[in-house]
Amino acid sequence: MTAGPADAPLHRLGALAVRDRIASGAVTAEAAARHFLDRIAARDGAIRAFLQVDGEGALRAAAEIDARRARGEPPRALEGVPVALKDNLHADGLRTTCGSRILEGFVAPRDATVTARLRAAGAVIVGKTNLDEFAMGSSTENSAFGPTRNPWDPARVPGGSSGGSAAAVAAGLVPLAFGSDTGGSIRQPAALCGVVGLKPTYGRVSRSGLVAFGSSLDQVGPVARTVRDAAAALHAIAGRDPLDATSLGVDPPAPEAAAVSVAGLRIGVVREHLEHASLEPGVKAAVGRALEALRAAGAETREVSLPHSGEGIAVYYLVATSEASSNLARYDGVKYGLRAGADGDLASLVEETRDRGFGAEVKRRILLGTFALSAGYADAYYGRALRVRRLIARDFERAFKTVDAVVGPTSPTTAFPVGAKAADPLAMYLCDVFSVPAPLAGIPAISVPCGRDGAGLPVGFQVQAPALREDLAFRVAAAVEAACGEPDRLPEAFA
Amino acid sequence: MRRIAALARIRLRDAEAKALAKDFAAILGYVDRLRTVGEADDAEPLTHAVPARDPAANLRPDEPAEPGSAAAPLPFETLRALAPDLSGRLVRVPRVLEEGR
Amino acid sequence: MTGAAARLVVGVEVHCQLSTRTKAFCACPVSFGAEPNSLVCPVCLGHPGALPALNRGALEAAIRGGLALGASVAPRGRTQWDRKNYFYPDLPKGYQITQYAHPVCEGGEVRLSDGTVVRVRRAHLEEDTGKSSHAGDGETLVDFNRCGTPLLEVVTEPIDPATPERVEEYLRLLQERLRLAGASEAAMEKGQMRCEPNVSLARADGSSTGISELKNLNSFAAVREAVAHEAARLAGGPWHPPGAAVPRATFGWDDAGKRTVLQRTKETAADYRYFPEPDLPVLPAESIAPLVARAREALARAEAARDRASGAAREDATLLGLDAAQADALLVRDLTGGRFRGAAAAAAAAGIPEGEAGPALAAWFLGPLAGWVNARGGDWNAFVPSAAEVAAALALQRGRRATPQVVKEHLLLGEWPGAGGDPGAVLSAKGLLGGAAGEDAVRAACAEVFAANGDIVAKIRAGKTAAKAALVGQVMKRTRGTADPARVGAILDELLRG
Repeated sequence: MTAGPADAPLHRLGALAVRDRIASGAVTAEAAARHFLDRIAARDGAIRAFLQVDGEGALRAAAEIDARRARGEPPRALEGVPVALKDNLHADGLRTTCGSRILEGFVAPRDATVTARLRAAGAVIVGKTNLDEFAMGSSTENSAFGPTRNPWDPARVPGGSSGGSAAAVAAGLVPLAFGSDTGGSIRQPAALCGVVGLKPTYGRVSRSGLVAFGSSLDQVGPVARTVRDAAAALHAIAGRDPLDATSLGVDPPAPEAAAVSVAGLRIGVVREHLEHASLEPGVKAAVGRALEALRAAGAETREVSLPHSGEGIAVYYLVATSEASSNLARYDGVKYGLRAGADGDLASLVEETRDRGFGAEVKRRILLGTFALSAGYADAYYGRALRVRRLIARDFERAFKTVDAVVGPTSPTTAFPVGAKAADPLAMYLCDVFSVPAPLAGIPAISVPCGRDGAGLPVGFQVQAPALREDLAFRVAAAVEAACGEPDRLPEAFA
Repeated sequence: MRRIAALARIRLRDAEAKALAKDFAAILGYVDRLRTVGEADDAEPLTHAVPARDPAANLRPDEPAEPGSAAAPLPFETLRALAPDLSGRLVRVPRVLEEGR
Repeated sequence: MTGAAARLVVGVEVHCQLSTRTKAFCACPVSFGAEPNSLVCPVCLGHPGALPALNRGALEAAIRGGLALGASVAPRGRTQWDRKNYFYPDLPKGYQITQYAHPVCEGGEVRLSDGTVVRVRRAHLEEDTGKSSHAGDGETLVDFNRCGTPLLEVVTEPIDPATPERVEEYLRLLQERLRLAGASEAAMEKGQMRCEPNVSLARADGSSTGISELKNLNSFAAVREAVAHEAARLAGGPWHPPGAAVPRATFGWDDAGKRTVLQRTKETAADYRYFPEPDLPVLPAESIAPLVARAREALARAEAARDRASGAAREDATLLGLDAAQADALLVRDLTGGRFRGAAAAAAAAGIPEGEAGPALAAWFLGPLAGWVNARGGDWNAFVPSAAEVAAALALQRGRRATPQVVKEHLLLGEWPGAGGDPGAVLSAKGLLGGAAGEDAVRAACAEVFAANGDIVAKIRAGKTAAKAALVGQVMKRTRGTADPARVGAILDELLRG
């Protein structure tokens, strides 16, 4: 469903609704762009979702779109829709900071493939959003440029690492944004901010131009107001890219897939997850209501077992950090970015650059990953983690023989206060307990809002589907959205 | 810990080293649970989660990219704009202590 | 040095640049001598967000190269790439994409002329680094053009016992095979084949010296000399007991000073933290079977073409009066890069019968001329005289205008190979050119010598005919070797008869 009645203001509309308004002539692309740019200028200060805003570029692109319309050219999939990109995705001519000081001065010489495809679909890039440094975190508190705040309660975090993108959409600053998900970095902030967030199947979307964190896990995905918007966004960016050897030559599902009823679908619930010690009662209750809604819509729910899901965090924090320790070795001050002034030899320069350029969490993860790969320990840590990863993937394969989708809470908690978990890295890592299994197995997963907890904070419902079956995930998520969602609701402060 | 930090070119001051050692102890203590997962002994490591059906079909042809395309070489101006220190057309760094690698 | 005789043991690692148009993991062109930092892109520069994409041509070239060595392709059921992690300024990503656990080729062998079989352990596909130059004033300057160039790294089992000559022959044959397969041009002087012999000595009781890894060897001669030098140096010990871990050290070869220079000792092995490259797919053996089949076909065609050439060569060898070894070296393997054939053709055009020109030219090219070329690094491009000029030198000798001795000393081993020029003019300028016009001079010289050596003349007339050689020798000296000794002998006989 496209959010909002015909007279709702633009910022309460989903991406497709904005596109339709522009296509119908009710509003020009330029006016739409200005609307959102003005909102960003007026209101982003309170939440600091954006690191960079490219007003000039956006208005230029919008003007070009209006010219196309005037020439009678048919509207493309996201024609005129203002979008924001997490600042670990390249946009030609804009800085890419990754929320870090070490990329100081780095201006992207080329669009990421995703960015190029969005432009080709008619989207208008308005700016870059805040993130945990190098996508490492679950709260966007690890950004070198300060935290982003949750629009529903600015004393709380928006989640992470794509906190800026989720907050921007939740606050109606853009109808659509993009993030990256390695262990939950799109879905968890989407859940905490009350919006839709999709991690596609591994290989579905090109990673060329996405700054790598965990190469075998990373995927780019949309943050949107509705499931239908997320499906349309996926359709616009998915597909084989010669620049990414891991990208798959498989067509994405048609966005209309979301509209198919869930009657007859078998939906698996993981008992260990619903009984999990860290699960807040408010979250459990909202998830329970969503399950009810699915049953009412004709789906069958049953228990499934994912025996090794409890090992997911351990596996994730060994595999992702190992890959990251290697991916971040290129930041040495030699070819681009920050270079510390140093007298002495090259090794000191590199050390000094990395010392000044990286924050504490990034350093911690690089060291952990280096250790996990180091001689004498690699088999016991990295090697072991890969074997348990296989078991986690097999658990899903087995479960999907009896159910079409596996569901549950996206995050054990709703948005927590800024600073609450900063002192205890392990506690922060445990936020990801429900979101790490999907990237480890490579399967798609979507988070859709399913109501509020007692304090009025958003709760996210996660739907996981077999590899390349985003259509199933969309169907189930859309059904939950229809029953429990409020896609056109904005926080009071941003109404 | 020092050896790991040196491998990663990450500087560790004494205070940091202490705090890190604590964090590490907690994290490694947590991930040690993987040792007890019996079936992992026989499981094949999983490195590529969703392999392509025909991985050799899409190998890149041995042809230079069209000028101006996303795969073409970068103009020197771009390098110059990004590089912290150039000497003519070469990137300059302080000397490497070890000759050779 | 005490105790049992030591054997030289050499394991050879060679990095060969594969013959491709673009780099291993990006579409930047591979080019020799381009302006620094002009053939680079986000991928080979290690920009954030850049991903590798394997070059099909590089994989095919690597497979052809491996097959030409008799290797098996992906014998473990699959081939895949790994990251080798370390920091160096010309390694932009902070890791090199290489193959550790599942190389594309394993096994194979190269048979040397003395029957030694050099076993190939593996041949794998990896990317090259950039070029660092260490400027005197404490700076390092980096050119990233070479980053990402596809390399085939070929590693042998230790050659035991080895000799410097065996190592050199292995490298020459390796180069030949890779060229035949169209896998690599492997020209050492262009840096397309970088050889690193790992040298140590071993004794019958199992003890051994440390291992010296030799680098910066830019010619076959340098390899031979460096191995010999290091073998001699290691003979002084220290010796390590059987089974002990031996130290490894890296040495650069100083070609001017003809010695190895210690670069660094590897007290602790570097921790490269190898792990599978997540950005590149695993290639199961079945998936590359069509590629392997095509590579086999291409190699078979190349070998057939070479066999046809060598069959044709056998015919030519008969015409040219060459023996089997000469034919193999000059026609089949064509060590002179076509120069022998060219000179033989020019000689035929000049009217010299093939059966006569062949052996003479063969002796020149395989003897003094090969010696001259090898002393200059083994590249026949250094040899300047044209085919016509070589044929002219043969004609001079045949026409007795210059003796074989003069030709050898003053042409073949003189400046002529490096300078070229008409051989007649060269010898004439030195006053060494004889010939019909010189008959008077020869007669005069014979008369003088005859007159000045009455005692020897008397001996000859008394029956000691062997003494005539002394008179001939004196005439040769007087005429500075330009006289034809047979003619001198005939003239002296006339004089002796009175």
